[in-house]
Amino acid sequence: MSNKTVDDYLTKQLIEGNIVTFRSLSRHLSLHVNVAKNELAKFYRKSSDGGQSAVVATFLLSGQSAPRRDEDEMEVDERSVEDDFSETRAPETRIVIVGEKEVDGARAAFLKLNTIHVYSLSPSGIRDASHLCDLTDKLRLIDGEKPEMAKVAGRVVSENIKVCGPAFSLLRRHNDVYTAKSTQRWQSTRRPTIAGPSNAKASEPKEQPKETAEVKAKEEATKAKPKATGKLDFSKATTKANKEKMKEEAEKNKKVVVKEETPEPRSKEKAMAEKREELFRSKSLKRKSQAVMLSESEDEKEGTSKRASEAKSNVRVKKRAILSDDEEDEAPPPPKSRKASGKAKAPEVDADLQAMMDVDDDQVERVSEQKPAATEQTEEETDPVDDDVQMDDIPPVQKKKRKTKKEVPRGRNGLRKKRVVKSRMTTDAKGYMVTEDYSEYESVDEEEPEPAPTKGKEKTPKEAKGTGSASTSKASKPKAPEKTASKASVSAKSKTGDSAKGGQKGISAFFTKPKGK
Amino acid sequence: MTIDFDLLPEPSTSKEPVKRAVTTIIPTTSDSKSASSSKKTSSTSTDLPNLPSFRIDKAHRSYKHQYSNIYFVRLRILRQYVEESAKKRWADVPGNPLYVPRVLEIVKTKLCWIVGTVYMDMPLKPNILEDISREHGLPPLPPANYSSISDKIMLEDESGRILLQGDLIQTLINEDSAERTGTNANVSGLVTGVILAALGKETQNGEFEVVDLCYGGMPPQPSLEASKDEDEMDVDNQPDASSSSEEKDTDTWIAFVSGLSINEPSPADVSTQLLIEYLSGEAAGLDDQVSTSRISRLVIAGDSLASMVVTGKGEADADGIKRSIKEKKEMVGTKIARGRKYGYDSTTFSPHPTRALSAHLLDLGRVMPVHILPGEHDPAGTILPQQPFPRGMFGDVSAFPTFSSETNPTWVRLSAPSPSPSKQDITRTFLVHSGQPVNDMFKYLPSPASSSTRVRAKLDLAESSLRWRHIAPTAPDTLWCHPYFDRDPFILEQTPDIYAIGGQESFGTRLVEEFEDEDIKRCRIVLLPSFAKTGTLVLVNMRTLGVKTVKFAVKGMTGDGQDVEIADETVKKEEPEAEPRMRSPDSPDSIPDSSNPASQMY
Repeated sequence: MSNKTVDDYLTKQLIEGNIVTFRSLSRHLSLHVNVAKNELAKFYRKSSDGGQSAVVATFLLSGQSAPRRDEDEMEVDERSVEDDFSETRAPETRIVIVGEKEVDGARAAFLKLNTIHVYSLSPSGIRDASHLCDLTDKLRLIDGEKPEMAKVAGRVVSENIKVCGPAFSLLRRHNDVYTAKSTQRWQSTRRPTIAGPSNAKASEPKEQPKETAEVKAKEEATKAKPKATGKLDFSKATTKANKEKMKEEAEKNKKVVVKEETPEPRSKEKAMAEKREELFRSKSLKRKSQAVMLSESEDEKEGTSKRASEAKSNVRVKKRAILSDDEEDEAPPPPKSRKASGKAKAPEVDADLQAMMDVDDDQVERVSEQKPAATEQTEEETDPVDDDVQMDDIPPVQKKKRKTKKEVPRGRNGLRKKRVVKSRMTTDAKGYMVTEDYSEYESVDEEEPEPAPTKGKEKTPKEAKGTGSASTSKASKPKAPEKTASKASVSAKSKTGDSAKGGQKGISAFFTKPKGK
Repeated sequence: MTIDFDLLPEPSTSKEPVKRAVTTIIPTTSDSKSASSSKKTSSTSTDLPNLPSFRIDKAHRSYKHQYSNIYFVRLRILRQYVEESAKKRWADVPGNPLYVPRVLEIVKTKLCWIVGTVYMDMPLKPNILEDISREHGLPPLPPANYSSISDKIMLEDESGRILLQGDLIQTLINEDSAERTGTNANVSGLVTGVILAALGKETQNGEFEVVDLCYGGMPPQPSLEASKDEDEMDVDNQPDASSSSEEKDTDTWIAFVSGLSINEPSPADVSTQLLIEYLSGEAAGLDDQVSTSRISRLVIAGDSLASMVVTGKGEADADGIKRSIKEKKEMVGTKIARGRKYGYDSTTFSPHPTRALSAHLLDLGRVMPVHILPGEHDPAGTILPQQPFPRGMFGDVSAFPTFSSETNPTWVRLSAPSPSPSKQDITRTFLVHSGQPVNDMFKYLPSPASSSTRVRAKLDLAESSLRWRHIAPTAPDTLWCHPYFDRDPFILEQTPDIYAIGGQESFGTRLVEEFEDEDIKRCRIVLLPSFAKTGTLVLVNMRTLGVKTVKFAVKGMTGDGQDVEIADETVKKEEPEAEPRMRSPDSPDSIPDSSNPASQMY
């Protein structure tokens, strides 16, 4: 580091009235601490030779302290006169910070002075030593962000310590947050997940742009938001997954698309306009992921999706009504994401990556199911689509907005928790007993039917139960039951009966409220 | 004004950077599978016996048991050792003393010896029966020192109690005329709960006139054989390990600190920062940096956070508004006043101390392994053994596997590579606690006048507790401890190499040795002074058991520097007033004591 930069830096800091310690200098200019100490000394000498009084130094003295019996706790006590100092004293190294005016006095207290160096420079004398600590937080941050700085600055790090520790913990925290969110909400998660992975891993961001470009080119009108999430997931999947996997997925996607056409019509019928946006997001996300995975499949999908969209212009409305259903559909992914987060905690980044990849794969499949619907919707709906497109341009902002929306926590089994009204008695500030009703999320048994009553339209809990994984089946009901054979059959049934909220197969349908709500 | 000083030697890039000494933890309990893996690393460690764990697992986390079990178990286990050593010690005593296994079966006027648990009957000592029989109100805080003129020392076993007497036990001291009265000095420094053998005979009054006392003696030191070769050399050349002549550059050191007392709202302490800079090898010159690099790990023995001061002043009312006392009086009886939250004031509560502490720990944890123990003033349970801090409360540093959150008394076994490759690794067993057992035992003794004698008294206690084979005999009498049912974890089954005691007022160290046959059991006792008060870091040499201190200070500045200087002053101040008179309640020992109930309330 040239003297010039150091001088400039010091001059600037001092003019601004800041304290510069050897540590802050070494961190900011990537110097070894000993070099930084010398630079401070040089600067100090220069400025004091020049007669400027603008720089005041504090010094650090270290050495062997002189035994000062009188000054020490060792009081003049007959009993303590025993030469038993071995028990109350040990060879002592003294490390003292002093202002420049006190240096000489402090020196006298040392039996042998090992070192004296400039600890800090400041524009004026430091009265309150705590000012020397003001910089510590920043330095800690720097040390955390740049583990390599330890070597540069000359910290002596034990071999036991894994340098990745702090940095990784930060990274991990981000991931955890994102994954957690994703589990809770598809929509919200998608955006955050995108941001998290992109930050963490360079490979992902690269993939994203390509994918996004393709998608946009093909479907300009479609929403950007969902794409982003899908892309992320997909990118992970691609990175991890073998080519074979990708192929398989692509095939699945194609199949799914075909099947999807059928389910969509009923969904359209049922769906209300209220929650369209959410559906859009989820579907669009799925679509995006497909696009990412296989460009070939995308073409086919598009075709299918177009058909679907053509078939039902109402899709959006229906979907909104179904929103709750959609959410259920989404439920399956969350468990996966949780796994991912759990793995992410593991110390090794590789494990995290793998875990995330796994999750993504699963998600991708689902996405494929939902995709067709999303595409249809997007194409059909002009206005919303436009909005979405704009959103694409500025994806991060949109994501944030949506995050704020309601979140339905998921239970351990990945199912959405249901809201239960309870009452509790409390003693209020005035000492009265107050009974208040409150609602609370309660986890749902996998075997139990999902809480259909809230919106109750098309969920048809029966179907969900029938399939092995309740979450997936539920999700599939409204939109795309196609994946598994059983689901497909179910979907077919639902399609047939769907005109009047689907042909209810069980008595439960009679207890659910009509959609109109 | 110019100050002459030399520039530091610039670090040369070609030279290999300073490397920190490394020590590895050897698991001390058998349940960990790593015992087998440690075989590979050091052949000596495998045959070392297990050390008791102070962790209270879920199955034993019950408070329903009676404390009497602890005394019972303690007597049953320690009696054999005491008998053994007593037989050896009194084998040649003329008169052929008889061993009477039960205290109450003593034959009058016949020389005999008995084994039992010491019970100190002290009027000033808090007594649970009195507390229970008290109908109203809280008992007053126990005094800082329990010793008084009417203390009685008794020995009890399953059968009953007998009063001990004799010059060995207590002497009536008639101090200067300035003193109010004499004091029953506890000559042998006994405390409740010690298992010992007493030789003597019963007097006409039914008291036991003691001629001699015998303890169990220091427990075996298993790491002895492992480090025998080195020890023999070192011991011969250097019986006093505190002299640094024998220390080599290649020695590995362990750093101990206690009482960081990170205190809100005062800003970060410069001394603490200096400590961190020193330990990370940044501060001072090249020589210091090289010597710092030999410090392989840091043990923080308690009191990392300053105790929380509870004042009635800042109490917020139920509506969250702070009012003056006058206003409060006017509001007595109102609903707002009734809902007052005592002891908690949201306006003054701050998470800052914990955050500051974890920030410091992060700095330290990035450069070396750190062990942290809860202490008396820390936000942890007050009963011993204190369970480890939840790692999560320290934020980022908890991500380091090298950051260990320990129980309060804790055993750590470390191995350091030997400087010469031909030799085996150096394995040392550490026993560390935050000082409560010693501080509590200290209350049983007549208070020594000066700080140096206080230090010596505490060293005596620590040494005695090794010979008693028990580190916390006053638990559960005056030292709160977990109601163990089937064991007493404070029994020493082996002698540690280093016995570090935190939470002390000043530094002290002693090398305790006991010869048995040809073996020398050696234990380095270290009293760790509060860092906030003294700025002292203690270093212990793994090989020689030598001790060094490093003192951090700030001169010529106010602010945090004050802490150090004020602390020095208080130490000086307390000396004159601590003249040999009955202990005044504001003497330094009362500080931990009086704050105890406060912290207990949380």
